[in-house]
Amino acid sequence: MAQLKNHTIYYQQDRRVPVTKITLTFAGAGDQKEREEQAGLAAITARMLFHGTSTYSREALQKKFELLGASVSAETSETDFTIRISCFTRNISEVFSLIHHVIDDVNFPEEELTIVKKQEQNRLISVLQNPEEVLRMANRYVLFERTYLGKFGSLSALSLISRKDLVQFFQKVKSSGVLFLSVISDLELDEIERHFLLLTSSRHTDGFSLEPEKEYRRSNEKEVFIVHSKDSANDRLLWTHEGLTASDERRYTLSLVLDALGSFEGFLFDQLRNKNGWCYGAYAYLFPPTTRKGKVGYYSDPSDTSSQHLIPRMLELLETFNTNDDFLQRLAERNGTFKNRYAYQLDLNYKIISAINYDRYGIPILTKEEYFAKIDAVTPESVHQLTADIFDTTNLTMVFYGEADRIKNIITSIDNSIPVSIFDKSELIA
Amino acid sequence: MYTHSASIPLIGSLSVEHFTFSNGLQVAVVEDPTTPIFTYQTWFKAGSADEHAGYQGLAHLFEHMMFRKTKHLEMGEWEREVNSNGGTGINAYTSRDQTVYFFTFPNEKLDLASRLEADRMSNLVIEPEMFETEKGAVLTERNRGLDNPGRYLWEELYKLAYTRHNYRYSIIGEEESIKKFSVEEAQKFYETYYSPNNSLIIVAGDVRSKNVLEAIDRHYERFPQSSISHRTVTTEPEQTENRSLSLTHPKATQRIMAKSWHIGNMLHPDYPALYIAGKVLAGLKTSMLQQRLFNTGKARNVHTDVFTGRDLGTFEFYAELSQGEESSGIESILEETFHDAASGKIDDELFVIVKNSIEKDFYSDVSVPSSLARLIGDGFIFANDLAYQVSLLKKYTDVTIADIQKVIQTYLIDGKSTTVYVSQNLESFHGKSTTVYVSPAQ
Repeated sequence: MAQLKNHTIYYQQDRRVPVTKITLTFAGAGDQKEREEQAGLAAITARMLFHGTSTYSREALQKKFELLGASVSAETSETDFTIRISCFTRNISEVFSLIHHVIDDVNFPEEELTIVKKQEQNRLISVLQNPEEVLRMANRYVLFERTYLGKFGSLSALSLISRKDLVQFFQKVKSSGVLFLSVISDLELDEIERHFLLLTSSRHTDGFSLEPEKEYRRSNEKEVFIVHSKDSANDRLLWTHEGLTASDERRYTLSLVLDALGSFEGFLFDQLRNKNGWCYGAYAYLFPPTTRKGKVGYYSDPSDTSSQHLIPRMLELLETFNTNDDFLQRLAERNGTFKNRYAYQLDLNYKIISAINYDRYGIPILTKEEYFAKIDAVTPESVHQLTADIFDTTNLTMVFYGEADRIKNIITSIDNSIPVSIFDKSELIA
Repeated sequence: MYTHSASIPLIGSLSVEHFTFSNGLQVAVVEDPTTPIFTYQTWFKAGSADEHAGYQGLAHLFEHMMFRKTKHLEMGEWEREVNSNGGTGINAYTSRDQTVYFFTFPNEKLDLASRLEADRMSNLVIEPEMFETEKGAVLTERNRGLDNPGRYLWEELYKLAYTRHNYRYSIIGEEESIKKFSVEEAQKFYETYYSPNNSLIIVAGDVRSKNVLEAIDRHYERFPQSSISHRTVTTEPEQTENRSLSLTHPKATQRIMAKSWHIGNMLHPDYPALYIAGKVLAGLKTSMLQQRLFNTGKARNVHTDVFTGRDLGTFEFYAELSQGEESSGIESILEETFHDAASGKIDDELFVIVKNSIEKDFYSDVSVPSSLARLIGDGFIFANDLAYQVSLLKKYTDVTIADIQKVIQTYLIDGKSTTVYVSQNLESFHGKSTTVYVSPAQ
């Protein structure tokens, strides 16, 4: 993380179309900088960024951008505050000037804030009707020890956010220690540099600073958390256990194992969906490591009647897959799979993300030869060692969405010593 | 043997080269070497609207079977070949008028991609046990979808808006019909629709036309044409009343509503003006309904859009109501906005903005091979003309405010709309508890 440098430009040229796509990232200025009683402040600040300056009303500002053929938006992640811009290259100079004006002069009008808070309140209520989103967030909520960092947002905190909070928060965002630009454009780099200078020449850097991300909760036993939903025709499950750090050399082995185990044509999909028709999806995937260690996740969506078959079978498969001949055959094919996939690393967006990840997390950018050598270094021995090290189902955090009593009975019938917690989805926006 | 049917210029050196083989198979190639990969898509003119009464869901269930077994590859081997050769994004979708299969490969795998798609187009094996297992997966997929109040709303809207045309059917089908399909019915569907003279292959990315044509010639040329059983288009009677339906859904934490009006298909001369009307009304941040509904906090996810099938289309409005807002209030604003637009009260600058967005959407489409393929494929399905979507761009720029006025006055009128409301309980919408509301116009 310490390697991220202020005012860096990550650039790829694309001459096919006269459009410039820009992302301005104020690193370290995201949700992690909120206090619990202000949960949602970062997101609201981002949503309000284009709602008015001392010169322009929200409507006038939106119109100015759209007349220039520019789409603009601001959003936050756990760590960052980002502004995304896509515009006709012919108007880039005016668009940069307008962005500069907004950053310098945004005034977060009170009446706009009232409306945006109402919209946010509606969004929070609305998102609870999407089972996939509820499952994803419930898992995050559990992994963050059921704190505000794992919620969609907080209705109670939202009501307390004031215009003054936004002004103070954005003051620190715009003067964060690291601002970087990523851009895909038909322009030459020196022209982009000249425009970027407008934003950086007199920028203060005494605001938010980069900090490591909060570690995920580590489970020391099998634990079950159920988000109760009495009317679901389908259950959903998302189970996780420990993964690796970003710079761990075993990540290549892990990638191959997860692909053989949990891709669209992986071992789990074949066993649970193709052979039994118990679910629509069955996947294993990586929660990517950042400054914190990653996780390995497993997802499926059995019908309410097939859960009783799928849950014990999936657990059994996770405990035994590494000695299963079918899995080992699939794994053996991954050497070719991953080498053939090298071409995708030459995509313009991929190249930019790789360059940022190198500076941010120290993940090296490999030449084709180096990459092939890493893939060749994945051997039956390295797989055996890795599965022994991290594929540990005794320490599984198991999150479910569905009818609580029914799922609890299935879990109890497998092992009645597994602790089961049940909570309502409304907790995710409380 | 093939003929070069057309060259469709896009931008700069990018163009679509259109070829037709002697067995009727159409092929579109876009050479774009930006990244050493290509997307390979196969479009069939076969969707849920081609199903017969009582067979709802067959096109979609059949789509699942295309990933199973061929005469040359056992179950799972097709996907393993794709995966081990670096193929990604393997998927398919079934819609009302088309079924589309697609994947992406590194540039040196062109022949393999072509062989794998040709194999399942001609050599599919549908085994009874496999077929029954796949029904379970489809039923799970169906239930997953219906768990979502929005999906439920759209299914019901189409059932209510169309009284005779097959567009009224659910694409994924009903549980009863899915369970009863036989292998023979699936086989018949395959033989009827999955033939070279009913399909288009689109290859876009780091490829050369010459190599694409050689690969396709090698793997598809021997496939015979079939006599396609063309859909009997049932005329949808003119809608002469407002129709509305209020429904409950246990997961509807927010009240949602959608409204539609019948329009023609994409070939209809009014289509460009209706498309632009959709943008003027709600397609952009500064659009009229966004200003009046979203920016005032009355509703969220507000949009207007045109759905155009091969035969017919609908103009659609959708919104999620904020707490405390009444549907009647939203509908009043909708009506007022339509009235303003129909009276020509459209900001000239908004018109410039809409044209800007169309130009930008085009650049966005041509720089992403999968989006570009969709542009070409839609032309094939809806207009039988690969260049049609590109030619629409010119027509969009010719649309005037007077054209918008005319189409709103002609189509988006009271007395011909269909509305569906979904909420957790009916009282929250109307303060009543009956389930079906039909306006006095009936």
